[in-house]
Amino acid sequence: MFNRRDLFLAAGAAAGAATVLTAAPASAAEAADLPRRSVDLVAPPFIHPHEQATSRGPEIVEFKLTVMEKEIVLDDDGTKIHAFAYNGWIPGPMMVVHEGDYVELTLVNPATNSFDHNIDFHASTGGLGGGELTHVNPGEQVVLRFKATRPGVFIYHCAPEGPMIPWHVVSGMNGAIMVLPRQGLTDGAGKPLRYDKAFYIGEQDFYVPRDANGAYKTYASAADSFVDTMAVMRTLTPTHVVFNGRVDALTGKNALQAKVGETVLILHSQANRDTRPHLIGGHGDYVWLLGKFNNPPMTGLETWFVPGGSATAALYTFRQPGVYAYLNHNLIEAVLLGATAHFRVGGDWNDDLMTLVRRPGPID
Amino acid sequence: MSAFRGAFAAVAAACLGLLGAAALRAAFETSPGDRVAVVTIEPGAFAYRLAGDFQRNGLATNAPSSETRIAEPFAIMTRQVSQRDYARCVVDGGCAKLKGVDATAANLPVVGVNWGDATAYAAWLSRRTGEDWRLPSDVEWAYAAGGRFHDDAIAASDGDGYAKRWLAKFDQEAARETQPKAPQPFDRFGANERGVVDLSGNVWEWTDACYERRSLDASGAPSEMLTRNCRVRIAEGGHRAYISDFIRDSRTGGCSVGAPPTNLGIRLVRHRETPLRRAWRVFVDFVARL
Repeated sequence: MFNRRDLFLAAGAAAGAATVLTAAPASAAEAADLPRRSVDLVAPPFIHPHEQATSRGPEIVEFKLTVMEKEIVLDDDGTKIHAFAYNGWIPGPMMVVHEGDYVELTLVNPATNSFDHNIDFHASTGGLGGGELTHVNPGEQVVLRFKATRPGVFIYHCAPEGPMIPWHVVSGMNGAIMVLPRQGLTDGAGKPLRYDKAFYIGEQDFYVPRDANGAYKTYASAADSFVDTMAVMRTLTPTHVVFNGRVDALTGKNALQAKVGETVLILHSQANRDTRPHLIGGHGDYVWLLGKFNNPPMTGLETWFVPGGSATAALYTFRQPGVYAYLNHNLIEAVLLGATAHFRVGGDWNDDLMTLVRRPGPID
Repeated sequence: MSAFRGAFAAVAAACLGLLGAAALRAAFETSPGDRVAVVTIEPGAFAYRLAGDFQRNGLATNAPSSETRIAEPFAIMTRQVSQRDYARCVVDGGCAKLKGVDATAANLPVVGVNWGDATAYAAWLSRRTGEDWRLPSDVEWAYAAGGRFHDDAIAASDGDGYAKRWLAKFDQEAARETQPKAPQPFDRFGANERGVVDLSGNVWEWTDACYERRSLDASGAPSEMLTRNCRVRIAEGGHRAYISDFIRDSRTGGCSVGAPPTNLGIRLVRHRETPLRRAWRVFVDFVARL
């Protein structure tokens, strides 16, 4: 006999069925049945192809990072350091998934390396961000899976143990992951926000020891540089602050390209030290301060803030052609230590926004 | 009348006395064993692109290039001033002491010098040799440099708003090669068609020319001088650089976008002088150093 209890049960069952269809699996066994896809990572400042809004359901997205230990050149003076870099890139590559996806990361530490490494994903939950579970010695690999439950852009970095943690991070071993809302970015009031291009700028502070004459020192190995480097680190004053791993990595002929009318998403991470990005000649139309997409973005910003240990996302539509400098607006760090990138933007000039009433000339 | 003649005679005698003393001093300071290697540049004409910022009808435009005559021969140093020679000037009290100058390096150019250092060296060398050594004008440098002179005209049409020319300049500067920073042994960059060595290598050379802003008339000829700023001087080399006169390290001062000069150094020219001209020059220098 159909009574009220049955109705409640039926309604509950129907609701339960609807919930099962949209909710993510509650157990690891169910998660393992999700569709899988593998992503080939690309070197920053570029980001692998990805959807912004997706109609797909949650997936397991496979990534692979191989740790490289190698000597790199930081500037045109030939200053060298022994770096630790995911996939050999500083910063490590940007990964993009959607909220509810699972990130399955294979971390490889080749036998040719000297040091133990791991990875701490700020986007994950538990296990020291995965750092506790992913220690790999040279010659080992590990596979970690975590659920991307929080939308936003988050850093990841190496965090072996004790003093190794800051040393590895300021040797270049950090990157970022973006967890997009499944419906894509919005302004917090329902309006979708879409970008034509996305760039990832990883800012890195380096601490290079100097000799008695002030010249930068070089070492036979990372281990040999450790004690001197730690002494410079303790001063909290970097010798280099750079974008994409070296001075002038993103300036001049390496400038980022855009056109008037294009909307760009600029992702900016700093795994260790505060910075304050500014786009000279432009603004932050929408800026997710502290980089988390459940918060409505702030609008029309001049300069924004990236606390050390985090990443930020800023959206801007170019309105004027020309050269833009995107920099850390501590201008000493930007100009003297290397924290500057260029945008080269083509298109037509808008005289209404800016014009010269009279060119420079003698005073009346 | 006679008082005037007397006063005139007294002043003339005093001047001649000073000139004589200065001339004697110059004679004793000449060191024939230290002849500076030079290339003689003969008179001629060439297409010279003016230096500075030009505008026409209120918009930035390229500097005009015009046939320019060099009327008198002059000598230009075959090589840039060496660290050893600069160190001699320092020991003599004629030049400021600078870091990184190796007094034994006879085959490395001195770098990290500002415009004041360069003119002080020229004045000292003139005193030592009794000859008229000075920084080249931009015209002299361009003429002597010949095929090593880099034309900085921008390939962009005028009147296209502010951005097209700006972007063309950005692209031109972005295409420049980065040079090694360390001073290289002489002859590393080879000689030009006149035999002048190491032009437009990794050392930019100070000239005497000041920054100018000028306008062009309807026919494209330079008309008025709008601004002349002699706190900014031209350093010539791989490109024409406008550098504040007090800057020693061009990499951290002076140019903004684009590769700034890698190093700043010195190459002098020497002009022939009549004896009277020389006496006057020596006198002026003597008084200046009192």
